[in-house]
Amino acid sequence: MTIKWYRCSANPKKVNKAGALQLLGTSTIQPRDDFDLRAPVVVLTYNAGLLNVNYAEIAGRYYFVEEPTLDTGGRMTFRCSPDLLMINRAEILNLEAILARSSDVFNSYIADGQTVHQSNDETINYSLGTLGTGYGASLVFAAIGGRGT
Amino acid sequence: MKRVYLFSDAACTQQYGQFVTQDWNGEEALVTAEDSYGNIRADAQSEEISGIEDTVYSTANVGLEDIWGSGPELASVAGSTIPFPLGEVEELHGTDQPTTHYLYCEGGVRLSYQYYHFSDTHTTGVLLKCPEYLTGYDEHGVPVYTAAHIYGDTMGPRAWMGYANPLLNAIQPMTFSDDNTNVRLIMCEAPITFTKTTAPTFEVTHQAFMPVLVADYNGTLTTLNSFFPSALTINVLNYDEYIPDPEGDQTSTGSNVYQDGQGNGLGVSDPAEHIDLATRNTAFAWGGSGVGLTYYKVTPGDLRKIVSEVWGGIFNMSSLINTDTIRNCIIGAFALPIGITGDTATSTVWVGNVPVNCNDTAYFITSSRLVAGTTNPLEPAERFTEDGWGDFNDFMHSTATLYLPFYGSVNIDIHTIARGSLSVEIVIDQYNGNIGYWVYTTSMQAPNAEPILYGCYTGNCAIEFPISGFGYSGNLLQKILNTGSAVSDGVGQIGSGVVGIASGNIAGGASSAGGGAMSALSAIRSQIVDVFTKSVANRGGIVDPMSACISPYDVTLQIRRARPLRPDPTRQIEGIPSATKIHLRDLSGYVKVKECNINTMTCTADEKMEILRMLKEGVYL
Repeated sequence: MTIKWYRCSANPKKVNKAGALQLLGTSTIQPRDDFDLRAPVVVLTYNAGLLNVNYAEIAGRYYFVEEPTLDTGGRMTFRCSPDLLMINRAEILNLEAILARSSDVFNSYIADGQTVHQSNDETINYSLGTLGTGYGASLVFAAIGGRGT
Repeated sequence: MKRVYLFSDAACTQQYGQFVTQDWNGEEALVTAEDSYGNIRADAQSEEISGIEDTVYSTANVGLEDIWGSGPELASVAGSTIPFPLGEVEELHGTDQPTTHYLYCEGGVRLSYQYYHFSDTHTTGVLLKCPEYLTGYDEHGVPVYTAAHIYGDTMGPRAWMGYANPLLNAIQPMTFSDDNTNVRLIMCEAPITFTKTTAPTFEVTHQAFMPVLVADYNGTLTTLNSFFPSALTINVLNYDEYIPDPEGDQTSTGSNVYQDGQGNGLGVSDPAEHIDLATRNTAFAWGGSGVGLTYYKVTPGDLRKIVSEVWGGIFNMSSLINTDTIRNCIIGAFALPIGITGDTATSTVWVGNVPVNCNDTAYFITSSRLVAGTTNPLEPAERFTEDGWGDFNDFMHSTATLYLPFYGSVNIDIHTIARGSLSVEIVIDQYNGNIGYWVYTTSMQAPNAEPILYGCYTGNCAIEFPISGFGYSGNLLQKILNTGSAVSDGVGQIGSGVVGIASGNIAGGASSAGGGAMSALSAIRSQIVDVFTKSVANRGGIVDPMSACISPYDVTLQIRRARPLRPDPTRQIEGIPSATKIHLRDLSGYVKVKECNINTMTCTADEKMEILRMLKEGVYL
């Protein structure tokens, strides 16, 4: 069984981390009985080059790797947990979903409860026109009268 | 209430409110009547209207506006000048039997027409453009003519559909030679290019009248039958009805003329082309001869003369105490904040049987509707267009308040104008200073739609001042007249007709019979205050009528908006709400799933649920 040890710089929430993996080393191991692929524990001969490992590919599956522990007898132990997003990335991308939020396809007119507002509102006055020129502009006088012509 | 276009000649008058009439189904309908460029002719007077009923082509002077600006005033006009859309248009070729052509709504085109009869030859004029190649045929095989209408000195469409304007500037200069030729101008809203080809001229069509129900701002309906002859032909069309077919049967296709063929609303691209109530509604006409009840536009000098004549000698003080002479003669005097021009100049102002020589500086006011001068203070207010943030904040975290001078503040539902627009049109009744505001809005849902009437608001911008009033300080009058001493000496009362006008009653009358000046003034003041307490000033309190002088004159729309904080790269990190259904492979960046079907995945059940949980928390693709 081949194990590839990586230093992963991607966000753990990123589905496809392929572009963020730096290979630190490769190991070929003989798995012992009850080697659990759900939470593999790998014991290797101490290798200083693997001290910065945080990601691994084991048997074609991808795992987050904790800080290795150093054991007696010149050994180091790596405890791994599966990265389900990376492992199932092909099927995940084939999923059809109803989105709640997206940075790619979105609707700005849906109320966003996560938006933070300042308390000082912005006030804008728009003058739509001025009525008249001031009092006394015109005087109107109405009366009944006249003799006519 | 549906809207119809009233095809009639000066058949519409309006007092403050709306025109109501009946369509050919007898259903109540709201009337809209326009001239060739969307304005209801406002100059018709009662005596002019009466001549029309005799014959279709009577030469009633309906006082058309001079569309040429500085050109000669148009002379008498026969026939209707009120256009109608989608109506049956008859083309007369010098025979008694009209050739019928139909103009109808095609893809949202709204057509109307105006007829001018030029009795003089003009060196510049209007050339009706209707090149042959632009004519089409309707489904009945009837030729459909389109043309551009004239307003001012340019031809233009109404651009209701938001299309680019036709090449109107190419029609320069317009030449026209008409000698007793009846020309009908057709207003076209289709995006059609015009060239300077010789166009056929259209002649007079018949006209039709209908009794009109006028509603004043109190909602009281009055039938103005007395102004109109009996109906000849009903050419009232529901705006969403098709024009009649050649056989004359009225059929409705349900098409909406305010939409194009795709159901998009027609647009108003230019506030100047918007319906202009200030000049559209025909006014209530009264007086003009100095005999009977007459309204005058006067100068302070005229008023001084009037006052001095009335109080200075002709009238006996004791007789005033014992009679109601002055009160019955003087109906009112008030100042307006806007300039009015009046109509005919007169050298004599009659107060009772006393002629006051005003040295030709007084003018009869013969129309209730304000006639705009060269500087129109009632230009449709600038159209406000909401810029906003371009997102939900414009609707949910914004408020709008519209301040209308002499009315107060109106809360505008932000949903009606957010990302849309608002415009205000104003009409003032010169007889009493009543001012009406029509607020129109368009929202982003239909940015090119015809503005919707948001509301009508009425106030009063007149400051009434008593010509006389015992004990009245006369300070205001003093300021207005710039006199050295108060003119309040003397007894008498201002006719409560002034206040009565504000209440819809033009006839004068005593506010309190036999009461002293103070009680009369109190009564008047209380009525004035009552008028103004119906509207609340922008910052609370009751607008004292005298303090209306210092009310802001600007129609102001105030928008308050919350300030959202969205520093970069907010969108990339937490996304923006989305309700889209999409395959994740078509996305990039941050995504938070509301729900998705994970049954297609082949991992274990626990892993499926864990993956779904993570998708709902948000992942990066």
